[in-house]
Amino acid sequence: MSEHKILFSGTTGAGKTTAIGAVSEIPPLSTDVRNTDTGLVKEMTTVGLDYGELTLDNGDKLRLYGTPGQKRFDFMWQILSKGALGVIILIDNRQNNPLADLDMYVQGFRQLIDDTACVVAVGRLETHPNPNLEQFSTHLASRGVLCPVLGVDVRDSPQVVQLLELLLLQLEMKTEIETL
Amino acid sequence: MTDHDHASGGTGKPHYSYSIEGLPAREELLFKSMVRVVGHKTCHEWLYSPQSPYLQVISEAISAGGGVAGLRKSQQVLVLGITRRDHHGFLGFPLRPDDLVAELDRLGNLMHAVSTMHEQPPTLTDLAHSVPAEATAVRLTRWPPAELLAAPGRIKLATLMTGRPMTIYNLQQSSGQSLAVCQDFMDALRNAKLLDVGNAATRPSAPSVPILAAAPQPGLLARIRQRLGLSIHAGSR
Repeated sequence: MSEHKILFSGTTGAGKTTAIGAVSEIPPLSTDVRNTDTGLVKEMTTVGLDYGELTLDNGDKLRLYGTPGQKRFDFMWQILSKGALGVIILIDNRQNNPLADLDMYVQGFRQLIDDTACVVAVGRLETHPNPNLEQFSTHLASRGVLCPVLGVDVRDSPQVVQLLELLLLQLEMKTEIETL
Repeated sequence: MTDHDHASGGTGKPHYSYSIEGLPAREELLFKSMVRVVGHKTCHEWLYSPQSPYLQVISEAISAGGGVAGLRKSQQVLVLGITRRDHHGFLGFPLRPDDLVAELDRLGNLMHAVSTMHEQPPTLTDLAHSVPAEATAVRLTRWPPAELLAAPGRIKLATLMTGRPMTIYNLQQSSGQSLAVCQDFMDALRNAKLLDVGNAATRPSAPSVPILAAAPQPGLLARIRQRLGLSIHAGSR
C-alpha cells in the first residue's frame, strides 16, 4: 500500500479543517486548541495539522493534510510539502490584507507550486468582495504564478471536490509533458 | 505599396502587394500563377507590384546572403527555396497550394496587425492575436477574469492551459470538449489579450514548465478521480 498526500493551506479561519472534512472518508483529525492569540477572532485554532484520508481502489491512501495557518509554524509547511501532489491555498477574504496572506503562502510553498500544482480558493467573497478574484489573479501573475483562482464555500462538498479536480488536471498535464 | 484599407477587384478582401527578387524567371512565373490560382482561398488579395511592396518574396540565395536591407517594420519577407524547413517565412519547392495559402494568410494577418498599430512592430502577444489560432500554440498569460469562465467547462479549459502552450487542437484533445467550444474559449481569451505565443508547436519538443519532482505513480491520478466520483480524464495516469 502506498501513501500520497495533498495539502490544504492558507489563512487561519479560511476553512482548511472544514474543506478536509467535506471530502474525507473519516472525520477529520484536528489538533485544534483553545486560541490564546488575541490577534485571531476564533475560539479554537490549529497548531499542528488537520488530517483526513481517502482510500483508493487499490488500497492506497490519499492523505489530506491541513497545515497550520500561522506564519510561525512555517517550518511545518516544508515538512508537509515533501512528496505532496500539490497544494490548495484557502484565503479568508475577511482578513485585513488577503493579498499579503496569499503572498505569504505562495512564498512558503513556492517550490511545491512550481514542481506540482496549486489552486487558490477565496472564501467569504459574498460578504467581503474585496479584493475580488481579478485582483487575486493579477497579483499571482505579478508573482509569476499561473494557477486556477476561484471563489469557494468549503462547507459545500462539490466545491471542494472541484478544487481537487483542478489540481488533478494540472498534474495530468504536467505528467503528459514529462512523457513527451 | 497598396493600401490595405481599400478593397480591390471587387473581392472585398484587404489587398497587399508583393515583389519577387532573385528567382529564376520560370519560378517567378510559377509563383505569380499560383498566387492567382489560390486567390479565392486566401484571406487577402495579393497583387504583384515591384514598387515598395508589403511582402518581398526572395530566393534562398538572397536570404543566405543576408536578406533584404532596409526593410520597414510593416514589410515582411518570404523565402522560396529547395531546402525543407518547417518554420514560418519559408516555402520549399515544389510549392504546395495549401502551404502557400497558409503562409500568405499568416503574413497578411501580420501586416494587418502591424498597420493597425501605426507601424509599431508586433509583439509576441500581438502575433498571438493576429495569426490563425488553430495553427499557433499559445499560452495563458494569467488566470482569466471570472466573466470569461462563466460558461460550463471553461474553468477546466483554462486550467489545462496553465501547463504548456497549446493549439486549439491540443486543447480539444486534452479536454474532450468540442472544437467549437475550444475555439470560442480561445477567441474570448484572445480578445481579452490573455494569450501569448508559446514556444512550442503541436508537438512540444521540450517542456516549458517545471517537471514534477517525483511523478505520480501510473494510474494514481485516475484512482483519485474515481474515488472522488470524477470522470476519468484522458490524461489520467
